[in-house]
Amino acid sequence: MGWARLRGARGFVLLHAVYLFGQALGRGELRHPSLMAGQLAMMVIAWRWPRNARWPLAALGILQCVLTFPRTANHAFLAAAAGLLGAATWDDVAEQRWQLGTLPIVALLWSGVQKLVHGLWFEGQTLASLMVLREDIALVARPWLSQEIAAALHSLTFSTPGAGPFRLSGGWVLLSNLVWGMELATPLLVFSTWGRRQVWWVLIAAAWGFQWLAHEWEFALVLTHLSLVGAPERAQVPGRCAGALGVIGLVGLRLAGAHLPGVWGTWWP
Amino acid sequence: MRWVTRFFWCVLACWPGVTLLLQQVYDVDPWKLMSFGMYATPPRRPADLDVRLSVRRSAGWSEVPLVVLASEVERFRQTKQALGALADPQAILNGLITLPDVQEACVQWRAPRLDRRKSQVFFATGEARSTHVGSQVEASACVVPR
Repeated sequence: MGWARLRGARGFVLLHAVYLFGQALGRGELRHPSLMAGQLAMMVIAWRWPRNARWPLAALGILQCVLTFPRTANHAFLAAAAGLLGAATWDDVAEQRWQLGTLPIVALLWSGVQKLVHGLWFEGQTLASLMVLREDIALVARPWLSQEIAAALHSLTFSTPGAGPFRLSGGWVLLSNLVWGMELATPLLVFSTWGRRQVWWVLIAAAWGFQWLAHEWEFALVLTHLSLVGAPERAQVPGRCAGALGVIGLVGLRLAGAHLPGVWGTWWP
Repeated sequence: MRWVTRFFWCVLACWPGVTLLLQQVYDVDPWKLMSFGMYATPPRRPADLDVRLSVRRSAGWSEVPLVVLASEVERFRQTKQALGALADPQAILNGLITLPDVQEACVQWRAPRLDRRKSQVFFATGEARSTHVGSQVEASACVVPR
């Protein structure tokens, strides 16, 4: 079976090829037959000759960003940057583990900083607006909302000037502040030896924990993919198998025309 | 090579700080440009950008249906909601000013935003104009309240 293909830099290149293919299927602009054929070929090359696949994969990641600009998703930029760094650090395993393994920490830290700067998480304002703007989030949140808040949000529209206030109360405010607090606190793990050894699974747990509401499947998959680079070798094989199955499952559902919640779904512009 | 990649890593790690500046100065979407500010603000969907086209002929101002320049308007919606003030409505103005007998063209837009103090919706608005001056077209992009 060749489990070695799923370890270290080879495993990174292979899962990167699978991820980029899944990402390309998720955006209409990228579903060009020649690009899809190139992506498929790249998965075969990444399996058979991973070393030769690394720079073409980096180029494919950049091409995906160019073709979707200016509405390029952050996870696409992150994947492109990881592809470049992964290709350039191929011969330096320790450096690759450090550089790619820390990218999710950078993403998480800035995510917390941005929430702090924009100030729309202190009273759950963004969460409240998302419950009005996105059906998939409203559906998950509804059973946990009090009658008063649910009724207040139900009466709001985001296209009317003066509509509001978009605020939550109780446990939702706590959750809202916990999110940005955790995003800022998690990177502190790298300052201890124990933390550096554990941070990879904390990042994966955080990435998937947020998806309870956010449904950003691609972002969770790319964070998992990068966190696995910093994981111990024994965790890389099952982790990458799960990551690849996750991408394949989403691709399959998408090809079958399933209406998935979140930004991977067909309804999101 | 190690130092080159480390430099690139540092650029990547600092870049979201630059996007914070772009957000403040140019109203760039925190969800875009690798800022990692997804969910820091409500999402800016292209369809939420309300665009109005109008032209001045000798009889006065009249509104132009969006379908006349559908692809340019859609492209502007996509770009404007992502890049804020960095988006250029010039393609729409060029299309409007070449319509028969048009002396002046105007594009107006507005998009919902969430006020952080009141937690209420307000509209960010803007306008750009093009004017025929002899055989030249003069463009002026200004942001004024609707």
